[in-house]
Amino acid sequence: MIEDARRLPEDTLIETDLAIIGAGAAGITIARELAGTNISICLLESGGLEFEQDTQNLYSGENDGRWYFPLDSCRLRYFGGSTNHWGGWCRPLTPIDFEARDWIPHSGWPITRADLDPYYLRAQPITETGPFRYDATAFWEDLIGAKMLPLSLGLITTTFFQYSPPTRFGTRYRKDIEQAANVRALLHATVTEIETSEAGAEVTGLRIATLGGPSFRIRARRYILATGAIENPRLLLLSNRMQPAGVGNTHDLVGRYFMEHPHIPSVANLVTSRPEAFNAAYTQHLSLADSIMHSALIPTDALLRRERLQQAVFTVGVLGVYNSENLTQPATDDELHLRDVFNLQRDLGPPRTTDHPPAGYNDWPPAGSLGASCAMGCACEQAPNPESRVTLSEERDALGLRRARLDWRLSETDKLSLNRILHAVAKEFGAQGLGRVRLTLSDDGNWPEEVLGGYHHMGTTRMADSPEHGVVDANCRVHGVANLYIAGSSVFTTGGASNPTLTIVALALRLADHVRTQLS
Amino acid sequence: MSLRFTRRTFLAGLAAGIVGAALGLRLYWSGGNATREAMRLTGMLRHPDSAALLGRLYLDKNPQEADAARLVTLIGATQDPALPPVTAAPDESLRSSLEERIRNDFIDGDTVAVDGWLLSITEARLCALVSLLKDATPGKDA
Repeated sequence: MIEDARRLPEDTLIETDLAIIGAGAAGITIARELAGTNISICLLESGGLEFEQDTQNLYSGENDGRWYFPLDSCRLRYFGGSTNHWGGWCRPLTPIDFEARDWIPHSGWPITRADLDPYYLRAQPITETGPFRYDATAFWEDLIGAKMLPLSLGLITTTFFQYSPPTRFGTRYRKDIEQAANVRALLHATVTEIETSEAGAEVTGLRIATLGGPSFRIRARRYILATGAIENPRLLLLSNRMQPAGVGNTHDLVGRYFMEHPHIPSVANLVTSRPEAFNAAYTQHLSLADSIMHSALIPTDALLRRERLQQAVFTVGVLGVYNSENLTQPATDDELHLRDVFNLQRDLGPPRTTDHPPAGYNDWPPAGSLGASCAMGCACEQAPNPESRVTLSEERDALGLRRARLDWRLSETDKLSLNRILHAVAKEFGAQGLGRVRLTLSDDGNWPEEVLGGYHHMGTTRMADSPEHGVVDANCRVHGVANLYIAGSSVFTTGGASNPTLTIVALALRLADHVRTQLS
Repeated sequence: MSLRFTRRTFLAGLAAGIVGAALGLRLYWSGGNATREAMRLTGMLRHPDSAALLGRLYLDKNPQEADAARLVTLIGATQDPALPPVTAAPDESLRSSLEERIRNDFIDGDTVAVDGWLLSITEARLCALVSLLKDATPGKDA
């Protein structure tokens, strides 16, 4: 059932087994998993079924650190949440991402990749992606009929993204929520406070407001906060009537460790006289029978361990193709010496292995091409940093609540790590005769201005075994609060270099299983 | 040992490297060993303008190597005493020897950034050699 909270009588008290705050990828996944059970669920969504500007304005906030997107442009505040503008990139975190790596302070999840694998498997159909075979090179080679890059130095390797159509959770799963007898979804319902007992050890209710409409309360046995890695800490910090530091913030960790995946769209140039080695999966999305796939490059675990580096992922985009016709024209890229390096590589590099792409999914390289000029894009891991954080602004929103303030900080080691991996890419490509790489980053720890986020907000209610090191435990329960859980990427202890949505859904499935056990 | 080249010698040398045997341009092989070796090495590069541009960038950062004879020696030097220098390779296998040498440079980390491009030190020095020969003028060739 989906209804509009603005039609509720003032001061209504709703009692339910489970209150889920936020109807995005995590909230909808949990509600669907528990649909049809004997657990009564109230799913609270601040927006409606479509975009509404006045509700979206509740996301506005301050940026206090390095440049970041306006906060109200990062997320969508209506049913389905930010899946309404999601790009669809899916890839699980890798096993090493969960490990405590002694060269990355504050790393180490209390769960492993193996713990999450069954849930990743279940997340695949929910995100409408294909088989859970993200690192199975032979599988994808067989499927597309072409080999992946011959990378033998053990520095970098090929990985695989899959693409969700993308699944707009609000549209795709709306009917499931409407038809679930035990799920009551309330639209235009903005939680303004998580009420707790005096000691803060238990949530006693939620205060909810509507824009221009009634206020009401919900009382539940369990509560799940699923509003994203900026709004989750914001609401915990705002709920300070009993505990001045906010809910779950005994150790001043709520809002800290904000992480992104620093993106640089053109972090390196690549010229290759062996374009046939880069099958089409490296340069475009391949629509296969039951999946959409794209190859990318990552550092090997061995390199990460040996050089004590952080994760990164690289994609290749073709800027232009060299052929006998355009090579006779004056170069237009003299400033970068793209063609000069291309000429050098074809003079001294290994010969091409094939002249024509294999039949099937590959339409790359184009007939008659002698080589290609490419840009490499990257997304990399930001090490957890307590000074990179979300706090409360002095400005207030339309409901009188203090807005979020984001202070995003990147470290020198984040940048130096990326640079060393780029060198490894250049070495591997050079050694295999695959091409030459131009490194555009300076060798110091200073990030260029063009570094962007990926709209991947993570880490602000991080997972750790002890309350001294994290806000939630391995079951996503807030340390010290008996009945409050958090879903979404705010619980990520570290962020790896994988887009977060698939992991958000996997963690939501795991949390749904846990809460089912608790409430049954 | 010092080497001097004229532009005419260089250009003809490049041609010799590509089609020298076919054209019978043995004249250019009659100089000193280093001269011949420089011709032979640079003859592997069929795009001398591109190589010279990159070589100039390399020499700007490494002026101590702006000496053709020294470059020939450096290119010929081998890190593994058990292996013959690349310059010992006969004409028919010189290209593959250079290819292998370049591959090993990348594996061993013997690389250099030229305007940001990570190049093998061998290919960078080959480019530098081309640049030096191309820059040589009759006036300099006393």
